[in-house]
Amino acid sequence: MALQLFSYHARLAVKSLRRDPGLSVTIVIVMAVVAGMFFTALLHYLRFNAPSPLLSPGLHHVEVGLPDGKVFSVFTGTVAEPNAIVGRLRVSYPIYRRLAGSHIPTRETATFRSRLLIRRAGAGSPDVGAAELPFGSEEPSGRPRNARFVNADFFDLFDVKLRSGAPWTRDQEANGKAVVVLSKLLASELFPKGDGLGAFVLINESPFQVVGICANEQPTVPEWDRASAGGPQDLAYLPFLTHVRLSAFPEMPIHMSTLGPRYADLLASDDIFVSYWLDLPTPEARRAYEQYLAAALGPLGLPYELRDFVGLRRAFPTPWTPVSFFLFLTLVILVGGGLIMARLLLAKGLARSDELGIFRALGAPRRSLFVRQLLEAALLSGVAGVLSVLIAAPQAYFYNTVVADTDIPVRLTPLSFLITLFATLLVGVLFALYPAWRAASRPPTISLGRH
Amino acid sequence: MLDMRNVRKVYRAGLVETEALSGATLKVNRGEFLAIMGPSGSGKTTFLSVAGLLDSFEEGDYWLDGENVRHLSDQRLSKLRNQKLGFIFQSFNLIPDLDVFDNIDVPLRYRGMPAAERDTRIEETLAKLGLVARMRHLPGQLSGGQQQRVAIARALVGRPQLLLADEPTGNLDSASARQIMDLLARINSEEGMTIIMVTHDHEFAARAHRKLHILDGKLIDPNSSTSGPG
Repeated sequence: MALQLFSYHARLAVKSLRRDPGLSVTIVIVMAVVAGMFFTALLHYLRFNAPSPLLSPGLHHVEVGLPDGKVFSVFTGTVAEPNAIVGRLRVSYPIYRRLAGSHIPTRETATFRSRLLIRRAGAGSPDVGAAELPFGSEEPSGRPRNARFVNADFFDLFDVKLRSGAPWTRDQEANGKAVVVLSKLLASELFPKGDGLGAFVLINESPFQVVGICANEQPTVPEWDRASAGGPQDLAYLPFLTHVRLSAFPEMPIHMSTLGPRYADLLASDDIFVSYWLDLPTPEARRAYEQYLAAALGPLGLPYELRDFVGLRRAFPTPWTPVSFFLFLTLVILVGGGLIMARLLLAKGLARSDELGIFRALGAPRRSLFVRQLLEAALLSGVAGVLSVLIAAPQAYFYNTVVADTDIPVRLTPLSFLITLFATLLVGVLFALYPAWRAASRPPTISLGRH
Repeated sequence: MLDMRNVRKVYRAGLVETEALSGATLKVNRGEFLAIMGPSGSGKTTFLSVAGLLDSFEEGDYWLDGENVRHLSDQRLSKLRNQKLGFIFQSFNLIPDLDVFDNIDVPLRYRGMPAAERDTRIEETLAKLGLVARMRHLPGQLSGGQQQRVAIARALVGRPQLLLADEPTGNLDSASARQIMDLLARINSEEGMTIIMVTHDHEFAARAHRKLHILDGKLIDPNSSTSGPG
């Protein structure tokens, strides 16, 4: 019976939209405008803060201090400062080698980002086929692009999905196989007429075979290296050890001491930083790794902390950015829209007071009229939520066409639409509670004008 | 059917108190047709509101079909209104954006009746009141007399035990008013439905079994030497 009444009230709510059309349209327009603003801000927020995929609960990270305090003298500050995060989320290359030497059979990945010259093999001079990037330094030999060195387990550990192909295997990596996974963006740029799978690209003039293409845009502040400087997304993923063959410098080498002339001197120094992750899916695995850390780092007197992913997010919360502030502001505006809606709903309830009185006289209990009023509010705010696309879509188009500040476009996604719809519905229903209660609890004699 | 004893109803507006019913006492038997008359402001509408469970009262007791309604919850009162009472208002009070069929359907919806049974009942009631041809019309497309017949159909469709009519002919021309009165008299005589009707019209009041007057919130039986005919 409850379901029957619910659908009956839903039908009446639809009909009642035609009653007081002026008020209904005003409510929808007000809510659609504020929801559109929220939608717009959300699109920008999600562009830089893509929601994390469901990562392995065993994913762990080790924060390690460096000897002599020399790094920390550079990276002094609060955790909200990017440099402080760099200092704490990455470890020096020699320390990384210690962290990765446990021989515990588990999935693991190290990663750092470099800027490399990438072009399609046989495409002529280095900068042939290289599209204009919105920003980034230009060098005489071509255009450097963001490339990231990762281990074979990386794609699985961080749930980085591929559109086609598959990541390289551990064996291929150990054998120094020259393979690459391209981002969706770079694949479409280098191979506009096909997928590019199996083709060769030249990276710093060395041939690498394309074994996979990413399914999605890559995040500018990725979970696996939140200390990344942002800017353009990572365009290629390379087997970690190939950084030696390519003599790849990290994107932000911080020279703390005089280096020797060889690439190995750089790696032996404390001047190159790497993020290191490993999967410790069971308490036993975690205990074993803790013992290993105590043995490997303890004698060096290095402070360290092993954290799971949840603990890491707690220790390094996402800092406020102008975009997140903008999102917060539009949320406040959305709530303001809810207040206006509440006022209009009160007026609407008053205008239809006689009708509600008739329903009460015919046996409708207060509760059922309350639900009906809420349904009507949900309907109005739902329509507004859908119409908010009409504000967000042109804005996104305009932004991508005129501003285009990075290579990740502002995109309307089903997720952003659903979040906006949900937020608009939630605000609409919450702010309809009081008007609905007022309308439903009005004595039927007053509604019917009987005294 | 209805047993009201010493019911007192007071309206308050700031410091001003108006006693709309002062010790109203009344007993109405099943199948009875009762007319209540009185000047404007005498408490007729308040009496019908209290009798129809649309309004509460401060003192006294009221049994409807054997159940004391004084302290019942909103849920229970709504159920009683839905199942035992039918209302006919002077201004018809039809829902303007529901057609005739859907207007008559409203009380049945709150009974949780299956759709097929609802349809049958509504069609029977429409046929009885000669409204079949109008069932997909909106109230605004009907004459006053037709609208009141729809209101009566809506009141009857749930087969209530007590029909409360508040000046049912007040907004109608004399021919339509007479038709409505004939209809009410027929419902009472053929179906044995208890009817309490408030009216200003002596001619129509004369068609009831019993006639009461209401004055300053008190019910008076003109055929009795004391007030409170119960």
